[in-house]
Parts: sequence; C-alpha cells; structure tokens
Amino acid sequence: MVGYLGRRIALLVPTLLGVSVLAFSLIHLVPGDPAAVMLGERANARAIAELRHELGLDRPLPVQYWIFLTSALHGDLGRSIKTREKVSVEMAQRFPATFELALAAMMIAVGLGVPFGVLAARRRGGWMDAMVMTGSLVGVSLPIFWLGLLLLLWFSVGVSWFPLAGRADPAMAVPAVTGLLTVDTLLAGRPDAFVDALKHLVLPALALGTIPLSVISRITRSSVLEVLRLDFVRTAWAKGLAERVVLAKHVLKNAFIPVLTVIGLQFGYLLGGAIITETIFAWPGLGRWLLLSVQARDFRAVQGGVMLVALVFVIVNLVVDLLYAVIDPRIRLTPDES
Amino acid sequence: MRPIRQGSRVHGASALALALGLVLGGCGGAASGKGGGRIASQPVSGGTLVWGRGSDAVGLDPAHETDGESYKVCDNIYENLVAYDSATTQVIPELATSWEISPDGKSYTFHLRQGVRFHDGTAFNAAAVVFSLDRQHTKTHPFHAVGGPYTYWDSMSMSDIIDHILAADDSTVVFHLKRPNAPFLANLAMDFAMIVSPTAVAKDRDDYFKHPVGTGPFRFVEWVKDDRIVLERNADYWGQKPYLDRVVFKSIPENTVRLLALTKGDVQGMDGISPLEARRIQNSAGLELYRIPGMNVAYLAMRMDMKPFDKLEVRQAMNYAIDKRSLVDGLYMGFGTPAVNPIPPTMWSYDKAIADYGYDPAKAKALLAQAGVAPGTKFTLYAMSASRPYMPEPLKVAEAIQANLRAVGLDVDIRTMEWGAYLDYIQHLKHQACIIGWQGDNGDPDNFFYPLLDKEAARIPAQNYSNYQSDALHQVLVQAQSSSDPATRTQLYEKAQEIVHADLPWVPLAHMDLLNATRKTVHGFVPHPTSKLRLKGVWVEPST
Repeated sequence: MVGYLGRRIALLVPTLLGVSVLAFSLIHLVPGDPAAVMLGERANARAIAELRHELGLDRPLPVQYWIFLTSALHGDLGRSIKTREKVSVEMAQRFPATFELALAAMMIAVGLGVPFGVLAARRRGGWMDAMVMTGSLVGVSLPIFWLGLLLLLWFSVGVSWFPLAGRADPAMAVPAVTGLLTVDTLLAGRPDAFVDALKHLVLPALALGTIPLSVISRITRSSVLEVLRLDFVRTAWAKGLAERVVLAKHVLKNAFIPVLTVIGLQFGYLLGGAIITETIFAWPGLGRWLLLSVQARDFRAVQGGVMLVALVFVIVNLVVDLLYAVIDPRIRLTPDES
Repeated sequence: MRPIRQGSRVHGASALALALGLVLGGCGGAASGKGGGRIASQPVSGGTLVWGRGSDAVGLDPAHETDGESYKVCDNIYENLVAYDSATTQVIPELATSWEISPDGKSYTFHLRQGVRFHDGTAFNAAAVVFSLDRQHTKTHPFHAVGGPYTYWDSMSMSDIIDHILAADDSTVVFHLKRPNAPFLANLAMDFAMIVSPTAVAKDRDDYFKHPVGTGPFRFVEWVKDDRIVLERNADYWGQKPYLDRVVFKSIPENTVRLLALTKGDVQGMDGISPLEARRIQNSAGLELYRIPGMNVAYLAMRMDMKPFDKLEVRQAMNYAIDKRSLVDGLYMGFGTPAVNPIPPTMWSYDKAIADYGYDPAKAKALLAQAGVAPGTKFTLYAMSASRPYMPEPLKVAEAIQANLRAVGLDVDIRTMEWGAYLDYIQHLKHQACIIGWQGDNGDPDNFFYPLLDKEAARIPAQNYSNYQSDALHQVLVQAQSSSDPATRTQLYEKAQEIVHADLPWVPLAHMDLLNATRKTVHGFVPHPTSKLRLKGVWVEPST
C-alpha cells in the first residue's frame, strides 16, 4: 500500500511537467498576444513593444519556459500577466469556492443519484425506473445556462427563498480560515452566516449537480442490474434476507466500483471549475478565472491553473483507487499496479 | 479609450428569463422607498449603494491599469490635478486649484490645493504629484520597475510629450514639455494620471494595487476577488462630503442576472446594459435608465492598399450602400446615432457642415460599375465575436452589412475570431476589411484622429486598420496638436474631417449611447461620457 502510494506520488512529477509543457505550448500556439489584449483597440506599436519588454514576452519561448520552470520548482508560479497578483494567491483565493461548490454538487448528485439508480434497477420496467431514466435523460440534456436562470427566476426572484448571486452577503463576512464559507462561518460561531452561506450554495450546487446526478443514477442502475443477476444475490434472497440488507450489503457493495469510478471522474471535472454555473450565479471560482486568463493570453495564470486542475484530478483519482481496496477487499494495491 | 467588458450576449432564453424576472421581481425591492416612488427631494446622508457590473477590477493602482472596471473603482478613491466636469470633458480644477501655461506652450505650472491628506494620513503635496507621475516617466526612478508596466502612459505617448516634472516648492509643480501639446491638460485628467500616496506605494510596493490609497471621497475597505470591492466614506474629504456610507462594486458577469438583481433590489445601480435590456429598463416602473451620447465610434475599415478598396469609387459605393439608419434602429434598438464623421457629434470641432453620403443603393451600383467592379465581386469582412462598448452585436451588424452589399452586387464573406485572436489579426493588417471601433479617453478630437487615422498609426501593430496614408491629414493633425488656440484647433479638426470625408478610409457606422441604470431610489447619479463612474454626489432614499 505504502509502496503503491509512493509510486503514484512520484508519477505526479512527470505528469505535472508534461501538463505544464502542454499548457505552455497550447497557449502560445493560439493566435493573440497578452500585450495586445491588455491594450485592446488602443494597442499602438510603441505601447505593445514597451509592454512586451516589461512582461518579458520579448524573450525566446524556451527561455520564458525555463524561467517559469525554475521558479515553479522553487514554489513560485510567478505573477499573473494580467492582474500582477501572484498566481498562487489568485488560485488560493478561488479554489476553495470551486471546491465548496463541487463538493455540494457531488453531495446532491451522489445522495440522490445512487438511491435513484438502485430503486430504478430494483423496480426495473416499473414507473420508478421510467421516471429515473427519463429524468436522467432530461438532466444530462438540460443546458445549465437555461436551468440556472430558471432556478434563479423561481427560487430567487419569484419566491425569494435563495439569494441571487455570489457566495455570501457582504454583511455576513467572517474571517477566512479554510476558505470554505460553510466551514468558516461555523468556526467563527456564526450560525446566521452559515445559513446565509448555505442559502447561497443551494441553487448553483443544484444546477451544477444535475449532470453528475443523471450520470450517476444511470451508471448505478446498470451496475446494480448486473449484480442482481449474479448467483450470490440469488443465494442472499434464498436465505430470506430483508430487501434492504440484500441491496445495501450484497448488491450495492459489489456494484459500487464502476459507480465510484464515475464519481471520481465527475468530481475531478467539477473541481476544474464550472464556467457556466460560475458565470450565472456570480460564483467567484476557478473556472471563470481560467477562462478569462485564456482570453487574456495570461499564460502564467493558465499554466498555474491548468497544473492545479491536473494535480487535483490526479489526487481525486488516487483517492478513488484507494477506496476501491476499502470497498472491495479482493482488490490489493501493489507498486506494480498502475 | 476605456475598454469596458460587456457580458455575454442576450440569448433567447435569457431574454425570456429577463422578461419573466421583471414581472416576478416587480419593483418592490429592498431599496425601494414607500410605494416605490420618489419620496425625498433633499439629499440624505448614509446608506450603501451596491453597483453591479460585468467583471471585477484587475488592479487598483491607476498607473498600471488598462480596464474600465478598475478605473470605475479608482474614480472614487483617487483624484487628479485636474478633472473633467461632472457631465462633460471640460477640464476643471481638482487637486490643483489653478495653473498657468507659458506663452510658448511648453511649460505648465500647477498650484496645489492646501490641507489635503491621503487616506493613510500622508500629506498631499508637490512631492506626491511628482512621485505619482515621474515613476511612470523616468526609467531610473526608484519605483519605475515596481508594480508592472505603465501601459496607458506609454500608449498616450506621455514620455514623448513630457521632458521633466519638477516640484518648484511644496505646493507648486511644473511640467516641462518637449513640444507644445494641446491635449496634454486633458490627458492629466485621465485615470492613469491620478495621484497616489507615495508612503503607501513604498510600503506595499508590488502589492500596492490591492491596497490603494488616494485623496478621494471614498477610502478602500475590502476586495474579495471576482465578488466585490467595498469602499467607505472618507470622513476627512476636503470637498463636499460624499452622502453614501459605503459603496459596494459587485461583479455579476451575466447581463440577465445583473438586471434581475437590479429589479429585485439586490443592487441599486448597474452598467454593461445591452439595447434589449435598456428597453426593458425603460418599461420598468422602479428603474431609471440613464442614456447619454457615447464618446465612441464604430466603423468599417477598408484596406486602401488592397483591391477593390484601392479605388475611391468603391469606397464611396460602400458608403452609399450601407443603411446606417436601419442598423441603428434595428441592432442598436435606437440607442445610438448613425455616424458621419470619425468623431461623435457631441465633441467640440464636430463639423456639422459635412453631409453624410446617405443610403443610396442605385448610386452605389453606378459607382461600382464606374470602378469596373463586376457584380458578384467577393471580399472578406472580419467582425469580432463579442459585443464592445460601441457595438452591441458585431456579427449581426456584419450580416446586415452583408445584405446591404449583396443588394449592390458585392459578395461579402464574413469571418470572425475570438477577441484576442481578432486584435492580433487586424493589428497585423491581415484583413481586407474589418469592423472595429473606439471609445474616447479625454474628449479631445486628437484622441480619435491621431491614433486611428494618422499615417504613423499604420505601422504594425497598427491601429490605422485602413492603412490610410495621408500626408495632408498628418500635417493638419500635427499642427492641431501643437496649437493651443481653441479656435485654430477647431478649424484644423474641421479640415481633418473634410479630408477623411473625401478620402473615405472608413464607412463610419454608429456612435452608441452610454447606458447606465439605477433604481429610482438612487439620486444624484450623473453619467459621464468617458464612462467615469463618480459616486461622490450620489445618495439613496432610506428604505422604510
């Protein structure tokens, strides 16, 4: 187990290096220049030249990459070209917002998706199955842009149950400890601020959780259906075990491996930032920041952001791999497994 | 120009959402007064104004910023030696009480306001003025390399204008220019020339942009990235004290949601308004639309060194063929004016005597035939993909132009690109024709003519997208820059408009109105043609 972990962590280094080369190359392959974008319509020859020099953009690309790499190895990702803020600070300000939203969305997706999937499989061909299948098809097909606006109209403008935009009411500000407002408000002993943060979280998490919810319920259904056909389930039924016990202890546990894989992948995607949800709900997360950085050709920010997303994705998948062994004791993690 | 990011285009779904939202939200928001009407006529102190906008600020050190969102915040924290009048670009005293210009036009002496302090307690004096501007000008200044590039200073060619800046005594600053430059005074009222606290810059250095300290009516409190910036009243302000206790600049990227927030009362003012939203605001009882002529121009640039636009008759035909009035009525939904000249009609020196070519497809056809352009001749028109402050929906504008030109026998192939790639493409003069525009900075005609139409601006990366090379125009523009007599300058810019009207490097398309909105409980808001957002005189009715 320890050897396996060590090997996976060691693999992170070449992975991140590869990602950084890829991110650097791609952002430089895209036409456009950070100096020109910053200056917009007013970009004259002199201003562009001065700006490119000040930003170090007039140096050869390999030199620019080398400077980035050597600084990154010292833990310094440099300053954003556009905002002049340290890239690490930019990410630290936004990642907790993305993490909190992704976590809430996944809680909704898993909390509803798995039971729906199991119920649909158990009542295969029945009305519950039809509802879950239709619902999940609608869920993956709904444009988040449209759904988000609709949620705001109904629950924020129409009945005023939830606030319209942002993460918290400015009057409810608490000192940042973890950056997760639901946690920080509790640490600060402010239940009113906790409720406010939670209210801000509900609608964006619902909008963002719709697609993972649909995918998870479908995967759970098909995986459970497959296990339900196996001999040991028949044996369990024959033993006269209660339905709840058969489903929870025998079926779900064995059907959960593919579901867990999908949960890991979906969570990884969400942690990369959710551009549309963040835009509609004015949620100050990583996705929109990355998008704006790409538009500004802010390659330092893009490199840092993409590396962070890659790192998070790898970690989430590592955790999923470790959980396989926890759920199914037949799986042994050895250094030779990849 | 002050680039303003506009949010995404209004899609069918969001338009519907907006309509529903205005109905659901009504006008009974939290900030409404009793009955939603105007209950107070005398200014009331106190309260918070939340201003919704499409993006967050980039930074709050005015010398380093380039975006309109940063400047909207800086406009309330900082001040300049001279300022623009509340509603025009006429220059008035601010931190300087008076100034003298030497007879040769090369030396400007400013007398500073006494007893003013920065928000951190530092005294405002000549040293602070010299520090704020000389750090941008002198490459050997100890703070020149601190905080990033001085983009605006460079793009306004300030170091080509200024020789050196001197503190004659504690309350007098003298600027010595290399050559007389009439727009110089107006440039000093621009955001990049705001006066910063030298103590604060020295303390925070590269991080000063997030700890701004000025002399303005509001002081900085808090910045939560991509969410909000909070300012509070500067109780020690030297002038008329601001009414508001606090101002919150709230980032709400999606246009529709921003307007829903205004309707609901979560925000009390907003900008980045599309024509469609402006219509809805006009029809909403609790909201007030502020509409003023914009200091901008949108145009179609034709490459004068490329076929078929190398022939004057073709450029004339283009000007006859495009129906600007329908463009403005349809796509700007009336929130604009068809353009005749490169400068907007509200700018001094605008030549009313110049008549537009007018929409005349028959004449356009005849001119094309005269130029030997066969029916069905094809050319490529580039258009940006996203809205700009001078044009709401560039691709739809391009399609309307395509239809107009098809009617006279020209076949237009429309191409578009993402904004960064688009700028790169047209600045390298790779296009045959393109749609683009300009938002003025300082109210001076030079700020339109010189960067956009002078032959010097055709050097790559170019801003003169027509590659228009006119010695006659260059001569007139240089003369106008060095003259300080307003009457002479007016004559020279009228001459410049005549030259451009005859040579036709562009089809001037439209000047878009500047649109802002508030709830009706907000008073004292005066929109400014430069898009400056000054909230010193704004007050809100107390909610009851």
